[in-house]
Amino acid sequence: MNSDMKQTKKILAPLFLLVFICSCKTNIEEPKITSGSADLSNYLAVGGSFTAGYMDGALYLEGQQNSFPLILSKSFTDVATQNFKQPLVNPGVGIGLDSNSKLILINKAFCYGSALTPVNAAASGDASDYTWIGSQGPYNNIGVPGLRIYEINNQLLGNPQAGNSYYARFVKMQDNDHTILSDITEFNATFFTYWMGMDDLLPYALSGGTADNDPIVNSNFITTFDTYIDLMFKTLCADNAKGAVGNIPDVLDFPYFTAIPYDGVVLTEEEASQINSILAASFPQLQYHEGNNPFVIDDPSAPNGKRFIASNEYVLMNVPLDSVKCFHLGSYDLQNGRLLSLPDQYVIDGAEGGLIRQRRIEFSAKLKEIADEKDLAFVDIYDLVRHLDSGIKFNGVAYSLEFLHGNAFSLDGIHTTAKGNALIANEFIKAINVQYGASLREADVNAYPGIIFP
Amino acid sequence: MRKINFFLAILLPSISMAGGFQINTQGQHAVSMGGAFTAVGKKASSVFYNPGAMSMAEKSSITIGGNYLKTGTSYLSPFNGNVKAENPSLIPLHAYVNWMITEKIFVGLGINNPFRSDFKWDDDWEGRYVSQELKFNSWYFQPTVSYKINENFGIGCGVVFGLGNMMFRKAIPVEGTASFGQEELKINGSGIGFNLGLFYKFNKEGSVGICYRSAVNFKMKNGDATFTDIPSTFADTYPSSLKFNTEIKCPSVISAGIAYHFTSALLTTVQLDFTAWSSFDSLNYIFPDHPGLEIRTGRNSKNSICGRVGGQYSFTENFDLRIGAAYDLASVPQDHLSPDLPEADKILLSAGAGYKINRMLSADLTVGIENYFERKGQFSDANLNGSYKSNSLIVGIGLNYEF
Repeated sequence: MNSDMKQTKKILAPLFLLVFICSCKTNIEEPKITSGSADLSNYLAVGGSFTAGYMDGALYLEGQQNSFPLILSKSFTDVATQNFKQPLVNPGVGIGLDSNSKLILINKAFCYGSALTPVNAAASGDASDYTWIGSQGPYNNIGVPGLRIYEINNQLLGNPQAGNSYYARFVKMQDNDHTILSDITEFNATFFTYWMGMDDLLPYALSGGTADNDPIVNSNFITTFDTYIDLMFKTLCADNAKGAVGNIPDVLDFPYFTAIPYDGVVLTEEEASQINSILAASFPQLQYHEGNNPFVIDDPSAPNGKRFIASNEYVLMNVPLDSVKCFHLGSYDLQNGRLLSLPDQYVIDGAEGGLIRQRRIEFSAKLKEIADEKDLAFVDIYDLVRHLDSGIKFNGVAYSLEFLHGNAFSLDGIHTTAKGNALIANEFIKAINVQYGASLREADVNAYPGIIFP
Repeated sequence: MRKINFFLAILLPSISMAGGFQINTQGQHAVSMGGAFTAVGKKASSVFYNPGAMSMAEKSSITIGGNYLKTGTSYLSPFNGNVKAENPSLIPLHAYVNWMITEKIFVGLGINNPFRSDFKWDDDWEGRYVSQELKFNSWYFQPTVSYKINENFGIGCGVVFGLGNMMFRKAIPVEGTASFGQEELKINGSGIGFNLGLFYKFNKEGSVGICYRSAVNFKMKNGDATFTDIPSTFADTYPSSLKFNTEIKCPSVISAGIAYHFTSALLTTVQLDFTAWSSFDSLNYIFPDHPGLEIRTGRNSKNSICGRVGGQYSFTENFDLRIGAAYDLASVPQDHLSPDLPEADKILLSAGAGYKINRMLSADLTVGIENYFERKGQFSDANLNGSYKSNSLIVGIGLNYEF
C-alpha cells in the first residue's frame, strides 16, 4: 500500500501542477496597437458645435468632457501620451447659443396631458461661463459652437462684443488679433481632426428656411466655402501634420426635423368627413381621411394659397405642440371654423430642403477633394447617420435617429449625446486606421452617458 | 478483469462540457479515462454511461461522487482588452445504484447533473446588455433496468425524469438615477427522456458498447421576471415583476465505443459521441402578458462530435492508474458566439487513480483540464464581437461500495 501511494504521488503530483498552471491562464494575446504612419503626440481638434462637445442645447461641462475629440484622445493614449486640454466651462447648467441653459427631460403637463419634454434646467444660461480663460491655453480642442467657415480668419471673432462668445472665452488674447487660423499655426499640431460645416447649414435650417439673408442661400456660396477650405487646410497641413476630415451629414435627418411627422394631424373618420365637406368648395386639394394627415402650410402657388405638406418636407421640433394638439395649428379647427396653416418658420419646404441638401453635397465634395489631395483620413459621417436611420446595434444596445429613444441624439434634437459622440469618434478611428495603417481601438460606446429619463 | 470492477468512479468534473452546456463528469472512473466509458461498463456509473453494461456486473454496487469544476473565461474586447469572467465554481454530483435482482436482471437508479452551465460576468461589463449571467442546471433521475441476454450480451433501458432550473440576468439600456436597468429571470421546469444501452463482449479481451440518451425538453412555465432600477418613464415597458415562460432542449447523445484488454492489466478504450445540439436552435423568453419584452435569440447550434480515448493500468490488484483525452468540437456557430455560452473546440486531458480500500470499498480520484481553443466570433443578434478563451479545471472524488 505504501508503495502504491508513493507511485500515485509521483505520477499525480506533476499532473496536478500542470492542471493548475493551465487553468489559470486564459488571457488572450492582444493585437498590437499602433498609430501607423500618424504621429498622435500633439492632437488638435478644429470644428464647430459638435467638436466643442455642445449638446442638450448648450455648452456645459459634462458635454465637453464627452466631446468626440476627447473620446478620440482617449483612444490615442494607447500609442502616445495625451494631455488633451479643453477650454472647460464651470460645472452647472452651461450656456447655449440662445443664451439658455442646457435641457433636461421631464414630464410636462400640456393641454393634451403630460408628455416627456426637454425643458431648460435653469431660467437662463450661466453667463459666467464666458469668463476669459485664454491664458490657461493653448487648448487641444478649439471647437467653437456656431463657428462658420468664413469666420476662421475673422480677427473680431475673439471679441466678446462683436465676435463669438464661445471663442472669446478662450481666445489667446482678446486683442482683436487672434483667429482660428492663427491658433492652428501656433499650435503646431502633429495630428488634427477637422469636422465642421453643420454650423453653416443649421442656422438656415433652424429658421425654417426663413433666413433668406443667410450666406448659404447665395448660389455662389460654394466658391466662398472652397476658398476658406483651401485656406484652412493650407494652415492645418503647413507642418505636414496629418489628420482626419469629417464630411457633412444630412442635417434634415436629425430628430429636430423628423421627430414630428409631416402627417402628424390625427383625425377620426367623422372629423375628416366633416372637415372635407366644409373645405370642399374653397380647398378641394385638402382631402382629409381617418388617421394621419399632413399639416397645412401657406403656398401662394396653391389654390387659395394653402396646401398639405409633402413627405419630403419637415416640421421643426420647436413648433408649439400645445397649439398643434389642442388648437389645431396646422389643420382645421372645427370648433372655431378656422383653417390654421403652420407658420413658415416651422416648416422646411421642398425647395428649402433642396437647398440645404445641395449645399451639403457641395461641402462634402470639397472636403473629400481636399482630404484626397492632402492624403488625410476621410470620415464619412453622412454614412454613419444613414446607418443610424436604419438602426445599428452596439453590444446589444440599439442606436437610431429616433428622438429621445434612439440613444444617439441629445435633447436638442440636433447635437449628439456622449454615446453619439463615441459613435462619431469610432468613425474617425476607423478612417485613421485605414488611412495611416494604424490599429487604434474604438471606444466602448455603451460606456458613455445617454439621455437621462425621469 | 476483475479490476475493471473497481473503477473508482473518479468524479468527472462538471466543468468539462461536451459541446454546449453538457458536462461529462458523471463518474470519476469515466472522467479519468477521457469520458470514454460506454464500452467499459460494469460499474454503477453504467446506469448513466451504458445501461446495457449494468447486468454484466457480478455484484451490486453503489457509487457516489462529486466534482469541483472551475472554468476561467477571458473575452478579448475590441474596445477594452482582456475582460475576465467571474464564473462560479460548479460542483456537479452524481449517485448511482446498480442492484442485482437475479444473475441476469439488475435494476438501478442514477441521479446526476448532465447539463449544467454558469457563465457570469461583472455586472458592469461591456456585454451587460447581452448577458451578465446565464445559469442552468439539470437534475436527471433515472430508474433503470438491465437484462443480461447471455454471458456476453447485455441490454438496458432507463427513464429519465429531469428537473431543470435556470437564471438569466442582463442590463436594460435605460438611464435614470442608475446608469442602466436590471432584468432578472428565474424559472424551473421538468422534462422526460430515456436512456438505452447495449453492451457486447466480442471475446475475452474486448467489448463494444452503444448508448443512446434521448433529448430532454425542459418546458419551463410561470417563471419570475423582475426589473429594477427602471426610470418611472418606462414603468409600463418594464413592470417591476411579471411571469414568463421558456424552453430548454437538452440534446440527445449517442455514444459508441470499443474497449480492449491488451494484457490483463492494461485496458484501453476509444469512443465517439454524437450530440444532437441542433435541437438548441434558439433560446426564447416569452412574456404572455407583455409581448414587448419577449427575447428571442437564435443560437443555431450544430450537431457536434467528440472523440475520446482512455487507458487504465492496474499496478496491483488494488491500485489502478488511468489517463484519457477527448477532443470535443464546438456546437455553437461562429456568428452566434455569445458571452453566456462562449464555446469552442476543446481538448480534455484527464488522469486519475482507483484504489481498493477493502473488499467492498474503493475510491476514485480524478484530475483533468479542459482547454478551449481561442475563438473569435460574433453574437450577431446584438453585434457583440470578440474572442473568447476558456480553461476548465476538473477535480473529482468518488466512492464505490460493492455488495
